[in-house]
Amino acid sequence: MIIAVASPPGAGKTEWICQQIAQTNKPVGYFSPKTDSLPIDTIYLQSKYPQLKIYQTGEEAALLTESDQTITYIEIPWYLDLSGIEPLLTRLNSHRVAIISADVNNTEFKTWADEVVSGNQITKLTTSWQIHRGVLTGEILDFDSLATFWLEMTQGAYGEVVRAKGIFDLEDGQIYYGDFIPNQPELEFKPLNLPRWLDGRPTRKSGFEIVGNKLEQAEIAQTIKDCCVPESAISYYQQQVKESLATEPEVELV
Amino acid sequence: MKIAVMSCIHGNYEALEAVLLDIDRQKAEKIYCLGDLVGYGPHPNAVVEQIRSLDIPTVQGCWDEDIVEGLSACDCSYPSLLAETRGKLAHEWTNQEVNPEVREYLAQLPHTYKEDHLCFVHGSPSSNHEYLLPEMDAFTALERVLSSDADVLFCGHTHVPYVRTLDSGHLQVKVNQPNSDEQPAISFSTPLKRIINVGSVGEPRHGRPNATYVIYDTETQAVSLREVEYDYQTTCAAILDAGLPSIFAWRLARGLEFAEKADDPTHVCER
Repeated sequence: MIIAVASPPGAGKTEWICQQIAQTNKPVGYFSPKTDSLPIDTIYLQSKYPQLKIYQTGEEAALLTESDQTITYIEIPWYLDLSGIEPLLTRLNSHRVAIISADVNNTEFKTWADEVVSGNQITKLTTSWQIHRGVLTGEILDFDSLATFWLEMTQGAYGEVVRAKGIFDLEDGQIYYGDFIPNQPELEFKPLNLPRWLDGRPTRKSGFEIVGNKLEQAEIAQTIKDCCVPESAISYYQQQVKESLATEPEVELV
Repeated sequence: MKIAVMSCIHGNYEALEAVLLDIDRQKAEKIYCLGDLVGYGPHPNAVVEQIRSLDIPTVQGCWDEDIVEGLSACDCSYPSLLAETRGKLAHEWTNQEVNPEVREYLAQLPHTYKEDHLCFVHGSPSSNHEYLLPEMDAFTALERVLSSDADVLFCGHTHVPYVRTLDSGHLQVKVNQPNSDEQPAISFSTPLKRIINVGSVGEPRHGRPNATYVIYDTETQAVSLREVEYDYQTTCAAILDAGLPSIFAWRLARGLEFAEKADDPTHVCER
């Protein structure tokens, strides 16, 4: 079975998929078109469900051949034109789910969907929204600096923000997930259940995506740059973490 | 006698003028300043010249010291890499901006100033980089006041005002000696002491842009924490005009200043 999920930014596609995966015993697959360079949601879901089968762009044919045994969710990024992906969805005979805030009368999504699910209350989408993406693969960030930037960014220091999310490699070797939707309880950065990276610059993907209005992209880029641990300090931090982990007493749960 | 005590003006001339006006209205007879006249703000020279012209007894803050001696705080004085980068930018800008007379004035400021039973410091009597945070353990806080040999210790540096009363107590120190059952003990009583943090005139960190300072009555010991509105937008505009990072203006407008901050409040830089 193939389920295509679409919504405006921040309505809760990934969270809804997460809930569905938790409720099934069947093998589950996941595909998010056009997000290969910065697969934030993919990495988030994979950290929660390591057995999740991930499909990359170019593997669409496999979706169909494996659909008998697997429930596969196709998460459609909000910035993708629904008509552009229509041929694929038709070929896959997918069930279409739209996640829409109860107070929004979004006819485009309602017409498109086989099923409408109530989602987060979100800021109304307009054509003036910009999307700013920063790929940070290879960079290690300082947690306190990132927290400062995130607070400033979500409070409007770099333009009006209606949605932000990111995955960041931090100096403790863990990769963290950050998520922001206006009017929603603020989510603290949380470490994902993935191995620590303590040997040089990480090669796994990381980065952020900000949706908003009048975004000061150069300022954002410079501030993020100032959050990055310099080359000269990376091995020092990693050695400290290794030593700290080696001396941590083992805790036995009784 | 009513006295006014202020601190951490940080080159914010608009805020200083508003506070001086409020002090005048409060009919304070004398003004004291706890340093950090410069740094972050766009008018370091004007602030120093005003303080100097009014002949206000002033102690040296950590920013004043850094302008005179070069950056002396170690990395752990900054809460993050980002704060360190911004702090250094502010330092470099201020260092280029201040004129020789201002630098000379800042250089001759004392670390502590005492008058009768009152002591005035920027951070603590130990260091102008040390934070006397309100949650600091009582023993350490009491030690800091006792070391100043005063009953009331006025400080700034945290940018968040507070009054802390350290009740009179009985302290006993016992020394364990090897190979001896004897434990020589020294005990003494401490009188009531107070720490009064006067907040910040020019870079508040209490969530509002308003300037803060303190009025203290030397006869009644009454403390009044004053919060003064001023035209912070003018300062924000001047920050941008001066070419300082726009984020300084954004944070100032929200009372979100963040200067250096050691995780350990008793940390004393040894660099």
